[in-house]
Amino acid sequence: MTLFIQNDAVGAGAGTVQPELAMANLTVIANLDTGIGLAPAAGNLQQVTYARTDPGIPPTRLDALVNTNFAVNPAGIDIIVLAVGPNFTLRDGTLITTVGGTALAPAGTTGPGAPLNGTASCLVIYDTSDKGGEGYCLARAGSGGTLDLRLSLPVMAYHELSHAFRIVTGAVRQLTFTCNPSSPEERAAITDENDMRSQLAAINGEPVVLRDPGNHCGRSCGGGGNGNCCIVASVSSGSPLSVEVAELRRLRDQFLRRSEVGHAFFDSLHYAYYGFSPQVVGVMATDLGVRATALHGFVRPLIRILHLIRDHAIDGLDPDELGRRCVDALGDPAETSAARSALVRALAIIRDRDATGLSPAEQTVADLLAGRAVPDPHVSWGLIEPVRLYHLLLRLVRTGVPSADVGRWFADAVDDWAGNLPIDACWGAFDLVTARRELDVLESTLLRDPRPRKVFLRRLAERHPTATALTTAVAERSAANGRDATGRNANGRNSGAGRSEGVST
Amino acid sequence: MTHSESEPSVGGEQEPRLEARMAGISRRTGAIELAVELSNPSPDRAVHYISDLRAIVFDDATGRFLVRLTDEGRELIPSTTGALPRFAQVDPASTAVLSLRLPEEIVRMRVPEIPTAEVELERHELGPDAEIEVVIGWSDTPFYPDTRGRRSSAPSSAVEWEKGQARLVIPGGEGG
Repeated sequence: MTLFIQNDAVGAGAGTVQPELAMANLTVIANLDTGIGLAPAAGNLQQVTYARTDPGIPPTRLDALVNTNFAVNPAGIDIIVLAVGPNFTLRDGTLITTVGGTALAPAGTTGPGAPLNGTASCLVIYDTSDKGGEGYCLARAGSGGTLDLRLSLPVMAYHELSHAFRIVTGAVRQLTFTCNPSSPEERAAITDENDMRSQLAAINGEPVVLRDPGNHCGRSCGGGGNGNCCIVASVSSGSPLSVEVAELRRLRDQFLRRSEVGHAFFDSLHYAYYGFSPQVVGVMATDLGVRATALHGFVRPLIRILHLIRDHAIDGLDPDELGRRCVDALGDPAETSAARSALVRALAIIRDRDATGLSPAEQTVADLLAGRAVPDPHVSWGLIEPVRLYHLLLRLVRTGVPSADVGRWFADAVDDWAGNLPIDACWGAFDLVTARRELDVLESTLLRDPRPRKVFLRRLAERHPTATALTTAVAERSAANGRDATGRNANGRNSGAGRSEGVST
Repeated sequence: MTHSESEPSVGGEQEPRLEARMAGISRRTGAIELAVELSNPSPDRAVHYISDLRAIVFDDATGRFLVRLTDEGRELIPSTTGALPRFAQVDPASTAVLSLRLPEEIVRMRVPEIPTAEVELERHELGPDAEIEVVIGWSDTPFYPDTRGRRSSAPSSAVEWEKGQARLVIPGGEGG
């Protein structure tokens, strides 16, 4: 009896630990070996069992953890795995999201973390929220310390189990407060972690990318990176490795462009998104109709419209070329009527929870979205409004309007949308250099046109009237924008007539 | 009423320091949004500060929550030393607004005098009546992880880097 999973917790009740995720991660560590299992629950603990058939390094180490009596606990419960949410704290107040995971020596021993441990077992604790969707980024081997290597849950669990192994065998090496160079204990855990990274790469058919054992530093990925993404798209398309998910990830990262504002936007978007998407995914798991509607009526339209928005906002295409691309993308007569009806149905679910004819599963999703998605400005602006725009554009294209007119209408509609980019709190904390740089980024992308730029600057000034640096930067840009707007109007840019609100197609 | 305290500075009013006051608080599902106005009175030096949550300590005796944007007091345990804080700065003679998103409740592991067989957790709600103190670590130099390890005199952790702490107390009943 050695390795256990905590499946509930005394005093806090259900929902505070995620035993199913812990078991899923151990199964990945076992390289999907069917010999791994769980004994019946005893109290709030379930013992992990493992009759290993896989010869790999991580399965072999897991085998040792599961099938060795380390005798650190008289009751035989040597190690307990605790998969927790983002609001978990250690006794000293440390939020699990600031560390990712840890391993604590049994209470009453002299091992690391023993004063923070309430049990006589070694505890392996890790965050299952992926830092609230932001992700943990670590030093990639051979990069000179670049912190861009994403940490996945199985790898995190394996890293902490490596510490746990040395704790229960009395072999813990020196720990220091320095992350670069790594302490001897962290170097050993990272070296083990890389075995797990190699195994995962083989499972996924991807190149092996290792972590630098000499550098234990890490930081938030800030909503970017190449890690977890888009769980609705993952489930509706059938795989986190699908074309749709890869496309969304690529578009997200193109728009993110490593700016502070981009990071903050996705930080807020992820926070809101993960407040309802797991429940939506739960409905999709049992209802194929909702899954199909999500894919054809939401995920694919979102990808198409974000491509077109990029063509206008990032690449700056002229209206004629933009219109041609719109017609090419949306005018495909081969598109099935089922896909079009999925779009209408998706919009009904998103925007009208009282719509008639919704199935019970669709009604559940509609209620979730009405309560948690639609009211959130980041979800509304980043996910819902683009799909609504897609619907309007589709109707326009299908009326046979000349492509140049389609392009002009779409450019104006995107500009209207861009000016309403949610203003995150990070703007208020910027110093002058950062504020100027962030405005530069926006003015070269989403806010190329003076009209949305003016709207955005006004909203920015209203939101943060006391932030000194931002006030200065906004005043500079507003003055420049006035001059620029005069010039742009003289060049014949649309002045507002016939914009998206006025379209009736 | 809220009030702010800062560590006493050696050189008087012109020395860089960080002053904090509450600019707003609101609640939405699962989270508390707290806006903190940060001021740097120094005319010529920026102040750098830790801008993300590091710990939330619940004081059983007083029911008070200590929201810490500092690594001071953190135990040396596996895996925790590598996760660096985020940093931001306030320009000389300037004011910035830092937004913090706090969970509406924390789940904390109990550490009883006699070790238990199972993990015991307890929930603590940061309700509208809870008193909250925010502590923000700052310095007048930016933090760079020292790549030379312990051989140099540069700070090797955010704890060593810190020169002072700005404090802000939100009394019970003003929690949004």
